[in-house]
Amino acid sequence: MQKIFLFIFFFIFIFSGASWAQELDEDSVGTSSLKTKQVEHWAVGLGMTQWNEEMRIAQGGVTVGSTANFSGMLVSIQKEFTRYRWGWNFGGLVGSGYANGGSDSGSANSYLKTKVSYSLLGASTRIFYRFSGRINFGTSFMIFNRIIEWPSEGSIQASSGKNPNILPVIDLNVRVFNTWELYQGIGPVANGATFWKIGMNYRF
Amino acid sequence: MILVRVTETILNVKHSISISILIVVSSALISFPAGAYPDFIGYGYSSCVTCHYNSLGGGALNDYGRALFATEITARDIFPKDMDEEAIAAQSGFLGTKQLPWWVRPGIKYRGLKYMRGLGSEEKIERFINMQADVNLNFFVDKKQDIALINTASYVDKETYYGKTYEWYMREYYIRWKYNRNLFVYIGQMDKAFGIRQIDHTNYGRGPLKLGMNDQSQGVIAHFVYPDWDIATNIFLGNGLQEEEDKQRGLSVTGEYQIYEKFKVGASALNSESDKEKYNLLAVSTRMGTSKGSAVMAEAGLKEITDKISGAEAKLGTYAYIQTLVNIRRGYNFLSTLEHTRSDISRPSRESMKWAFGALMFPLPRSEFRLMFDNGKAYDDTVGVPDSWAFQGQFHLSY
Repeated sequence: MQKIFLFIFFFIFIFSGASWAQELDEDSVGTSSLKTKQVEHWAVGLGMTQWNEEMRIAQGGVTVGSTANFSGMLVSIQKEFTRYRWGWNFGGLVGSGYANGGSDSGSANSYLKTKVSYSLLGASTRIFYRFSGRINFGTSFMIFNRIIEWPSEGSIQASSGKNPNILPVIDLNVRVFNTWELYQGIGPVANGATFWKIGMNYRF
Repeated sequence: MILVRVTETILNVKHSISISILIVVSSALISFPAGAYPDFIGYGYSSCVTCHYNSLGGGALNDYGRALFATEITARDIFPKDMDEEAIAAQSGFLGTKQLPWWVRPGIKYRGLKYMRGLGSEEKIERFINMQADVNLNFFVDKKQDIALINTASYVDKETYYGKTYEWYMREYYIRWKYNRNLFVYIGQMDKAFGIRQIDHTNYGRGPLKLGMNDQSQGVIAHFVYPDWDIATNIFLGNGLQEEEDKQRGLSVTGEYQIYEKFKVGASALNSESDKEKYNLLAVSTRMGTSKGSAVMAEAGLKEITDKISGAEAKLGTYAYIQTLVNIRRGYNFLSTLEHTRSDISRPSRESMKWAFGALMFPLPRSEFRLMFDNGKAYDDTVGVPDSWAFQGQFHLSY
């Protein structure tokens, strides 16, 4: 329900603003030729990811649920095509980090592991609307596989989430300098949980 | 000492992937140029004294600030299309177009908050809070307003203010002396000088560091203001309504330097101590206007807090946030604030993160509406923590 609420809110508030958009600034002041021109460039990004997964802890035929928290770094490369008011891109991403999961409840199937390393490999495509020459809102569609091996503890087996993960991400990119861009994105990844992506892109 | 501890800690912390570090790195990256609120640097107003009686920001708006709020920040949909901006500005006074005597400027500020916490869970909590109900009365000794007495009386209902409930108290009272165009001196009770004075008092860089909406302190501030830089020093002695043992007494320094138009970097330091707690704070900050009405600002800092009662070793923690304001059209903005904090970086401790995003709107004169979602995350060595969700609706009246 929250996800639906979130998406409705964003799409009404942000994308209905298309007709309200400000002027593009100096570096993209429009002429009729500029309005049809397409600019291409590459971008390399370095950022943080945070997300949660539902965890399954099994022992002797009994499975209980818990939460796993993933935190890590992400490196991405994108090819971007930009027009006067909109643009799109596609790219790949690799990442790595650590996950914590479970809880030390003291019960028979108590399971807690911290700093379990994971790797991530994925791809994304994004379409965006340019509010100005330096700010754009968009939606990305991401697909990623993360590789994690939760260590077993005696007869307790643990697993989390699923592969592959496919999710929409609503994102905001703000160009803080000519070649540097701050990006921030959020999207639903599990029941009530979100995937965060925050970092800087270098455009060339 | 702090720097030595930080260096040791960073060397010891194997998983150095916290958002704090990213934000600091980002701040460092953006220091290489390639190419109302502190966010209003996006309109080109990089100095607080343009709009506020207090040159460090916060508190009542001056006449120019009121006019600017009406003509640049607020939507003009309710006004006829042929009504010019000067006529709208002329209506922004306390009594509308009626001029008040030069020696007095009153104001009223109300902030109400409706919040719902635990969305999607069985522990949903809904509350309405009267966050702020201020009556502001400012007196001037001369027409140039070189010497001013700034007063803010507030009414507190069930939310206590240093033990008070359902009564009036004085939140702010200070003399502002504009010695010359480059030096402002303040004596009395006012906000402490540290970091970016952003309005969200629950931000990890404000309330938890005793820099929130109820943390005014008696003291003296000297603020040197030049076109490209400013620096303020603040000696403070605690809030007049606090118990003596709770009063934080100390010194802070804050300053900003304008690298180029609409791009400022700043730094702040604070040392204070009461009979119960000791605070050492250090922060760097940046504010950048990205296009008309839009801005990015960030602050990252270290906080060393010592609990003197327990005698425990000081905790050295971090906090950081990035706030992005995107102006969609006049009066309507998208606001996003990403925050991160950790209470102790030298030992295992929880990382707390929250991302508040939504609409910041000024659809009518003298009013503000906020509709914000708040997604919280944590990274903890002792338990897997599910996401938390909250919704906040705020109404502000600034008369």
